[in-house]
Amino acid sequence: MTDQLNTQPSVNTENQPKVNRAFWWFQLLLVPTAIALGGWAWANVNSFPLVPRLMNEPRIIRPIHNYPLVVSDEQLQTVLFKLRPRFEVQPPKTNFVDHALRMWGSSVAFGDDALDGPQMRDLLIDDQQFHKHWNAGTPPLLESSHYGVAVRTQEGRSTVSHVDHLVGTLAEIGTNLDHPVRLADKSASMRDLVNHTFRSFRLNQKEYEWTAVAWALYAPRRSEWYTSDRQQITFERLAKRMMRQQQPQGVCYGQHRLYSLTLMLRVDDQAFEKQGERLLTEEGRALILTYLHSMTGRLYRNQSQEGWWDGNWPDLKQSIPDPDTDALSRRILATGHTLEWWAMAPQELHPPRETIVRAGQWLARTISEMDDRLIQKNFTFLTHAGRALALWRAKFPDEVYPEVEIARISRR
Amino acid sequence: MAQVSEHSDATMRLESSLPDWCVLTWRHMLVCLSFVVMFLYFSYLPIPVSSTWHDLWTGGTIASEGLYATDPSLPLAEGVRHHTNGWLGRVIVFQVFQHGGYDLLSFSFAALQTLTVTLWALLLLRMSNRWWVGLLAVASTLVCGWTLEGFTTLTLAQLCFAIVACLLFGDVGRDAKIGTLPSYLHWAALLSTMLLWTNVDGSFLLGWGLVFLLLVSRAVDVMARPNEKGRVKALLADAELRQWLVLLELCILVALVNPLGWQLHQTLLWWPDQPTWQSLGGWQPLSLASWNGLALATLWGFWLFASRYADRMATWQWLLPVVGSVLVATCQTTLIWVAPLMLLSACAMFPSTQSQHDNLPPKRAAANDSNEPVPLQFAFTLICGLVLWLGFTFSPFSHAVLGGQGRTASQLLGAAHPSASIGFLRSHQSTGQGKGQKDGLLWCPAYWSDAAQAPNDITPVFANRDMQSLPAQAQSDYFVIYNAQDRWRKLLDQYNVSRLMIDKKRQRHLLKLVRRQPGKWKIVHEDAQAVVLFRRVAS
Repeated sequence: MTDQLNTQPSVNTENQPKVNRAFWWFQLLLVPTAIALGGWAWANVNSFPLVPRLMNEPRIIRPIHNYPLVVSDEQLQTVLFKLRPRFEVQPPKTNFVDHALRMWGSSVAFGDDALDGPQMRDLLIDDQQFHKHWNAGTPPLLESSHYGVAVRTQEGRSTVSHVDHLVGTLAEIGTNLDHPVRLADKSASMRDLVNHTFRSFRLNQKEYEWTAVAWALYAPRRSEWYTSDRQQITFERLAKRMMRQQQPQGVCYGQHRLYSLTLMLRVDDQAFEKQGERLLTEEGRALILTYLHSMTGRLYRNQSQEGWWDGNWPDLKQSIPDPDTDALSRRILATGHTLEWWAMAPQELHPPRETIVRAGQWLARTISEMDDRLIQKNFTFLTHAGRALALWRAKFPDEVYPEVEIARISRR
Repeated sequence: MAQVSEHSDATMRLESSLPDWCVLTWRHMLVCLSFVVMFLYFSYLPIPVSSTWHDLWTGGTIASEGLYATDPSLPLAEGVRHHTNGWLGRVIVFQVFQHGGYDLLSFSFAALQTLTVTLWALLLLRMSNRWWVGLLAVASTLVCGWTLEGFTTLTLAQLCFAIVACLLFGDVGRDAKIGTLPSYLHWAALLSTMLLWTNVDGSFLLGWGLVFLLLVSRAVDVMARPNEKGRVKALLADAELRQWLVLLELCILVALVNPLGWQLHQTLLWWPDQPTWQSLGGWQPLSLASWNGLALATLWGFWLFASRYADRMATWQWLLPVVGSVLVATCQTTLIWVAPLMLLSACAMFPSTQSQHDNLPPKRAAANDSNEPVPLQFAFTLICGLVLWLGFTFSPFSHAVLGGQGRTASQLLGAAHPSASIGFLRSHQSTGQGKGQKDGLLWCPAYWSDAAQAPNDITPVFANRDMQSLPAQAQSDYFVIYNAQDRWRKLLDQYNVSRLMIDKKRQRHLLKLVRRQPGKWKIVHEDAQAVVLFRRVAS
């Protein structure tokens, strides 16, 4: 065959050209089919959905424990009254407002000089309201971005302090995706804010806890999507990322991670109860439970006699991460955050009741004794503490506030 | 006189009993010497820390656990799509190590690389009938030698490439230089080699590319030829063209025989994270003022020199160098593939005059025509034998036959290999002395990460040779730590790095900062190459 092919003079085929029609018809079918299939496969294999399907209305995850021993009605009323969003310095720090909004929700009305819920929400998502408080030269809090609407973060008093904290807050207080958001030059919606969080997210970014909270609350079920680095994201992968770092590394001594994980568990439960579908795989859920169990164990072992924890809550032999910060502030931060995630966690993740009661009582006493100056100074930490105490009575703070008003009126 | 006569008779008897091809000349000796030198050079190259180790340990993982979707040593790459090219090649590298350790790895590299160059040299010789093309093949291999990184899947792929080239061009004789089609018997061998290539390395696409270029060349040649009945008709009627097309389709079809089946073809459509393109080297534009640029320019110089001798040039003879140069311009590491093809197309242009005199000793012919005593004609044959023997005795593998001591592990691995530090890490991992650290990542320079792995005891690392598998942010954070830029300490916390291995030569700044202010880190081991630090654990 070699000889035939090599010695076969080309001129022979030129002199007697015989077109193999069957061959070329076959090729005519084969090649375009292959190209079409290739094109279809190309589009499929290179398709990376950046945003999963979301529910318009976020889930509301309610507190489930009502332990009066943790905080009595009277203590709670005193604490909540002290933590009304009354800000001495005007305009109020955006960071304070978005923490206050998370604590009080968007429907609370105080009837005094404290900012009401709608006022706080509008100040954060309506540029006109924002610039009524901040002078015209202040850059807007919300900016139109390539991905949707971005929130300016960690750029001074007029911006928020945690990545995606505002979006997480709006989700937690039940803001629908079609809720309008007003920018300086255009109207947008909550969906644009959420879209931005998806499209700008990187799994290894420094802060991601509030992003995860927002996503979990809007997610109808278990889903997969991709970062712009083309890394596939699932709630398990997010959870693993949260559990990866050693404690107390991360923002607020790593406590936001514990809260986000707890919320994921609760969303998973709720999705299963209401829709029969889960957010997490069994393996992912087991991993989170094991991790949170171990964190509860550490907290149980390292609680002070008085009931507080400090920045070195995972291990008392470790040095405190920020020793220059005031000790009281550190303790309110660590204790308030701890009680907050335990309040939302299923009972199986709780320490002995005594641990919770000691912590709750220390917190209620301490806040009751704080003057306005101290409260203003520690306002963001205190919102977590105040919210936590309300949650331990199975209510959100705004649900308790009418009782606060009634109690004050009756005392007068 | 009688003694002289007897001696003369004995010489004549010896000569007549040996065939002509045994009579070698100084030219053969020179080629032989160059191959021996090349073999010794490859033999004494230390086993590289990065490439061979990566293939070795991934081969071990594949052998024990099968193909994986995410590199188990690279947790940060979870969720990033990944394709393991050349599964069989990796398993072969692993099995070679299992059976013969470092010695066999080193020998396999030297032997296979020499075999590859030999095949190319034989093919060039067949094309040009010039004795010095052997030297050319050796020289071009040594010029491109920096991309050869020890015994890897690339070594096996290059052998496959050489075999494919021999099968495609082997039939091209002195009188039929234009890319004519190989025989059907060759097809079977060719397709088998393509099948092997598909499974041993990601570069198999070059084989498809070569066949495709030959197909295009044939089409151009046919179209360029004047024909009374129309050029298109002549093209469609051309038997060779049809067979090139079928051969290409069969090459694509046999590639389905792999553990991933059709998915392998799908990976060819991945973009921009193209695994095959990345396995060739990815986007690495060629700088003309570089070693590779100089090498490419020299190859073109040689090609232009050869083209002066061509009375007729087939399309493939200019198409291969042009397309090859474009490839090298975008990815300079592909020079190792393109260089032999350029030599091939150049060698095919030399005229067939003075053919036999280059390979046969001229004195032989003279001796037959006269009655004068013939001088010893096997002198260079014997010298070639001596050169081969000396090559063997000087090679590090001679101790297996001649006795003596083989090379030590440190000699085989080279001075740059952080053996002591890796040994320390392994011993502390296996004995549990590094308790508290094992849950975290090991950060070490990516070129050391693979050497730190053991097939049955995977160490999660920050980055390894498969850097492109990491998300972009993790890649940039790796370099922030590598160069000790701002945030490097925070990043080590953020990624939960529990063990740190610093290259003393290349990471002086990081080492200085760690020594000056250890913070959460404690130096637990130090040697000439590296410093190992563990994160302090209080409890």
